[in-house]
Amino acid sequence: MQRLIFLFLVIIQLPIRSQTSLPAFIDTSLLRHEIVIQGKTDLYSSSLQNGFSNKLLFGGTFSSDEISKQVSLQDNHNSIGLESNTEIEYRNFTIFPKKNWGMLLKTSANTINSVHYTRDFFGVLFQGNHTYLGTPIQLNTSSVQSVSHFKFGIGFIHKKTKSNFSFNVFQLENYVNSCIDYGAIYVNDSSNLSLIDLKGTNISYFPSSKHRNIGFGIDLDLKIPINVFNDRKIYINIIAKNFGIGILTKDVQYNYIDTNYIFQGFSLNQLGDFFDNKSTASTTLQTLKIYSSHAMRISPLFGFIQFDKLNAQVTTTRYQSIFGARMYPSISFIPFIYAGVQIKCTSKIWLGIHENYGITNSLRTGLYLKIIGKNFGLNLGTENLIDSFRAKGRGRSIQCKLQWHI
Amino acid sequence: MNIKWLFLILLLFSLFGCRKEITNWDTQWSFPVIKDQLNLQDLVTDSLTLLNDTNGCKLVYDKTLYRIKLAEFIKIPDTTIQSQLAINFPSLNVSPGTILSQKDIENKLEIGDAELKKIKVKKGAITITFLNPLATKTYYTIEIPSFTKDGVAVKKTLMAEKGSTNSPSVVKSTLDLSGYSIDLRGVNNHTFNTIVTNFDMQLDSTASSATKVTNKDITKMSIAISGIQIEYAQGYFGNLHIESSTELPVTSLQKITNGNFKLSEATVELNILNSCKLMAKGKINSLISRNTLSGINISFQNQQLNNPFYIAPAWTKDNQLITTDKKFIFNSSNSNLLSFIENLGDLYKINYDFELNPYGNLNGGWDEFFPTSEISLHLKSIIPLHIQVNNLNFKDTLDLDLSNIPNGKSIKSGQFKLHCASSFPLDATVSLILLDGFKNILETIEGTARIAGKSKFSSENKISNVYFAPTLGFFTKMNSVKYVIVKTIFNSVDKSFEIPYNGKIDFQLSTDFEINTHY
Repeated sequence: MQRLIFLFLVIIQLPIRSQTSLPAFIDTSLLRHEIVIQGKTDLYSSSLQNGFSNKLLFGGTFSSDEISKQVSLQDNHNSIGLESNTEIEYRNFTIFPKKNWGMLLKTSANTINSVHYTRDFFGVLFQGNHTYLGTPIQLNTSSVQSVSHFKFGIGFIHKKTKSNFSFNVFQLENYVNSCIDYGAIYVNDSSNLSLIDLKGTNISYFPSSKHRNIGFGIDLDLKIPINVFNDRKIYINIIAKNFGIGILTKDVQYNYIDTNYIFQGFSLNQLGDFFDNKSTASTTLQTLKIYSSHAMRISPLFGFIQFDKLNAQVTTTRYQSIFGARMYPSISFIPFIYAGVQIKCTSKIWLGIHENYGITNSLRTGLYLKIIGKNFGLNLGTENLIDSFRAKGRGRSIQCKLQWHI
Repeated sequence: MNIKWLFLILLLFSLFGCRKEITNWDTQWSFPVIKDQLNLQDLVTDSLTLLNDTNGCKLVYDKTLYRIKLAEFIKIPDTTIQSQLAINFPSLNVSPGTILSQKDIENKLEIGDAELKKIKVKKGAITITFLNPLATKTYYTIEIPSFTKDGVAVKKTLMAEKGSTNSPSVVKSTLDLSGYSIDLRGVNNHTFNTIVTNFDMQLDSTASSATKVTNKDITKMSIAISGIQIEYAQGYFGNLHIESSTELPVTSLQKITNGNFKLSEATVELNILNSCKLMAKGKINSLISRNTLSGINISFQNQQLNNPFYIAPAWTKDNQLITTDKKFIFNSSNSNLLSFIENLGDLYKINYDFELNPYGNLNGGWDEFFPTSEISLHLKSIIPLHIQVNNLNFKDTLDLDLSNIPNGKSIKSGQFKLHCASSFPLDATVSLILLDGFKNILETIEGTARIAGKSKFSSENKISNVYFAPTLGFFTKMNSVKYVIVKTIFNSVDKSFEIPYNGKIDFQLSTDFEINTHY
């Protein structure tokens, strides 16, 4: 059950974003060393209210009333996602004095979870099947995707534009990619007859020992100048992050179910065989046409591509436009786009506000603050300003980034 | 400032998150677990069968209680036949190629008071050994006309290297006797237990000179017979006396711990069969039913017990062995059979004597036994299922290891629901006693109602719904369960009834649990 909950929390992948919409400036100054620390936690829900998801994440007891209320708020199809990411990056621009390139080292801890679920799925999970006796439980197109990993990367960075790329090794802490293509479960009022009509697959990896599976991938961050009208030059930032593959060799469970089964109970002989170890759980599952194996899998990690407009830090203009977009090739969701305005409050303080759409299937308002000092930069922001502070809101977002350089 | 400190603080924040409390909620689950049917045939196992005739359904117990295999009593012990050959002169030069012989040597076997004429060997072997004291290579030929296979007698030639008086050379050969016939009637076919042997010794014909032989150069021959198992024997098998007792446990009745039942009638046939061609005399000394739980022993009472009886020898007709028998039929009118059975003994003891050839060799040594020959004791009881049951307690202990059930502590409450439709004329009250690995009681779960039986006056099967609800505290220790005792108390629905041949109980078990999920 814990795994199921974990899947629910971590699996859903609507807003799998390991990149922020915090502002980035084109910075062509020559540096010697730089440390960048950034982190974000973004919880998205299409139907689940923050008060409920808070307890899921941080603890608490759900009363039956709370659960009933949340069930009534669910649509036929819902999604929830959680992304948490902390990254520390060290950039050394002096290691190759005669080259245009420096080196970077980075490490990060990431967890990305996305779940699509039906109202019945949610109801069964939090209420059990008792309230559904005599009613089919619809599970069509429910899915869970989740990955948690540590990343260790080494790469090169351009001294002037700060374009960079890195090769990464991932230490996988868990991996789930499950999908129910169609499915319904029915238990009659007397709970002595059940019908199971399910088709779906599951790949899951939960390490049973200290051994961890690993993966490989790349990060790319390009700053590209583009001439626009009136010979004006702007920079576009193209980012590809966490692209790679997980090599799942150990503790990998692959399940496939394609069953249309009427179950009224085991016979005494079946139970006897089971308790006498003549029959195993696997043979029982085969009876239900649930096939299970421990096979090696190479599975994609959930990376993303993003582009943003980069603004110049040194400008006489008080207002600058900001816009960008982000997409996740390995997960189906509405691409995220945002556009807004950045206000130069003082020579060292910027404030940005933008509207974004895509992840939530609705408009959200984002806000950020950027402070630039002599040797540092500090960014604080959110992509969901209004919901983040409401118990009845759906989702929260907080992002921060700290840079220090000499 | 202290930008460095600011960095450090943020770094620490990034490393140490909030401490999470436990998230938990309760869910209600109901689903089917077991669906099956028990009928009378399912309950009848091992040596029990059902007989359904116009007089109703009967339980038949048919079993061979004991077999006396004659081959176990008539045995040829491992033995060694020895003979030797020497010249009668103090010294003699013997030419190369000279042959010395011993013919028709009769060797007597010691087989108690049995006088066997012929046997066929199922298994066994002989080892032939020669000791050659002569100072020349010597060829020994042994022939055993008594041992034949497919009409051919055993004949073996062995070559021994030259030896000396003090250090003779040794030559050995072993022969598998499986399938051999042995004629033990001697050279002239008028004796018994006798093996005839011939042997020759021939000095090496290629030797360049004569060999000096003295009367101290004694050639020794031995035939070691071992591991003989007899498949067939003919002769006089002797006077054998077998006194023995047999215990017959009926473990299924050990599960009945209390209560009683009454039979209306029963019949028991005790049949002694003889497929050996010899006369036997027998006597059944006692037959006791022991109920180990109550400690009650009941001796079977019948005037035929303790009286000797005779069983004629089996005989042959058209090459078919005709078995003879002695049959005893017991019922309620000639014995205390009903009370004997109603004691519900889980251990039966029978004590008996058998004597073979009680009057010696009356048939001129023509006893015979064959591979299938035996004297056996058969019991067949026929019990009409017309019974009355009063508080009959049936206890069965089953293995039930729940230690692997995950999150057992998460079950807060729950119950099993048993839905039954019965056509048996018995009421049953069921309780479950759950035990840990040391057989300590963890929980006793009583059914909320009895499983009702069908009255003989009713045409419909009786429907019952029984709930089994463990106490709340049980679920915290359910992972310790290793065994379950199913205790059932049966009572007749009607005063006297007949269990129908097609009697059955359909049942379905489903669950209704409240599970606390937490992480």
